[in-house]
Amino acid sequence: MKLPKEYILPIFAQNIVKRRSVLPIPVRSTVEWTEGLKIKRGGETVLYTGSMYQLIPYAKAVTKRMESMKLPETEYTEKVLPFGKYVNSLLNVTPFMFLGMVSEQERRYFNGCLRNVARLLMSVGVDFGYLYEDDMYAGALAYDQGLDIAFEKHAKRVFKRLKNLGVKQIITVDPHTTEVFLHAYKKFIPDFDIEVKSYIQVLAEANFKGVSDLKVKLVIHDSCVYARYLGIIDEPRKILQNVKVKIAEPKLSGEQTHCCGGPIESLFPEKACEIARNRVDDLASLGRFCVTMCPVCLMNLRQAAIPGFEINDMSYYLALTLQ
Amino acid sequence: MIRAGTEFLKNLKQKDYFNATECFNCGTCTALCPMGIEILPRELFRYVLIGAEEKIVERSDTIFSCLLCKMCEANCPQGVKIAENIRTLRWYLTERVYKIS
Repeated sequence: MKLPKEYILPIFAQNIVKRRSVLPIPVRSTVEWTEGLKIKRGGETVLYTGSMYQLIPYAKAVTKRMESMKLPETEYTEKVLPFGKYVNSLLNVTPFMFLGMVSEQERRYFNGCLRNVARLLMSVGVDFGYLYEDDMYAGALAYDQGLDIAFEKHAKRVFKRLKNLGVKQIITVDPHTTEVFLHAYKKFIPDFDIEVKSYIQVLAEANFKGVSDLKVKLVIHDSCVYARYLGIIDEPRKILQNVKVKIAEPKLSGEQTHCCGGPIESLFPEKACEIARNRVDDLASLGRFCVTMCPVCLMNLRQAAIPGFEINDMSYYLALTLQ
Repeated sequence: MIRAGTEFLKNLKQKDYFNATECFNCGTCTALCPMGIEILPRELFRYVLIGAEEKIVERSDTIFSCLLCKMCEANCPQGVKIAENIRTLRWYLTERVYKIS
């Protein structure tokens, strides 16, 4: 049997309140992407990762572990499962879920995306810092799952920390963190006054052109959150066109983009994969290379990847134009 | 038999945004849903409007399998805030039914 959501959701809530993330991973893993970049600590403008890119290889590892667990459908299992939340309240069970299952190659790739974003912002002269261990997960999954009590506590903690550190502007790297700051935080914290922008918006405003052109055709996959929640549709196209990318638009793109399936990966991984397969089929019919703008889309679409079709993050392609 | 009433909807509205009264049941949302689940979301909203709380609890897997992708919402001719409605139902289930704090 698969682990029912009724036993997973309390663990998410406990983790975010007690351990500052739905999926607590070692702090070292969240900050190691900065090595050698000499990004200053703090400042009024910060690059805020919310650990989203760093979490993805771990989330994938947990899903793999859960799939391999195959809990027996017995009366005994049903009696034991409810105790999981009590165990987790005392002892963080998450590391046992990803131990030995995390792909080093993926960790390097996702950390590389963050390094690319930092380098891209530097290339257009943006003066930004990073909060290192204070760059907390923003809480998107808890909010989406309706875990409002846990989310509110966490959001207030994040906001307080940002204010204490004197942060006035946040540059985000993924759509979920952008959306949760812009809408969910404002719902629970009426005086939330920090300016929030995606790095894609910042690059578009700076008219990013890179140093060299990237003369390639890329099939674009818009994130649902960027396109339909935040209206960020023209900005990625503008910067890709600036570096001479030929953009292939799927039938369902922009405001009508098709979901990658990723948002339900944590509770219904099989369904998430089925949706990703459908989307990959559409995208792969238009070209060999695909560009995504969200770590969740990237992970989920890559899980359904087909030979000869390569999917990469926007930051990966743009960083190629810095050489 | 479904026990109808107004309490359930009142409870949802007290806490958060929930508005499905504009839905005229055209089925655009169902046709466009990437999940391909027939009940999502218009039938769910009917259950809420008539106060059939037990049907919502029964369909909790469907509620949590919504992608919140807003494909339905972007195409809803009545402008129903479908994703926010679904999130409110999740809040109700997690806090009031599963008692997660």
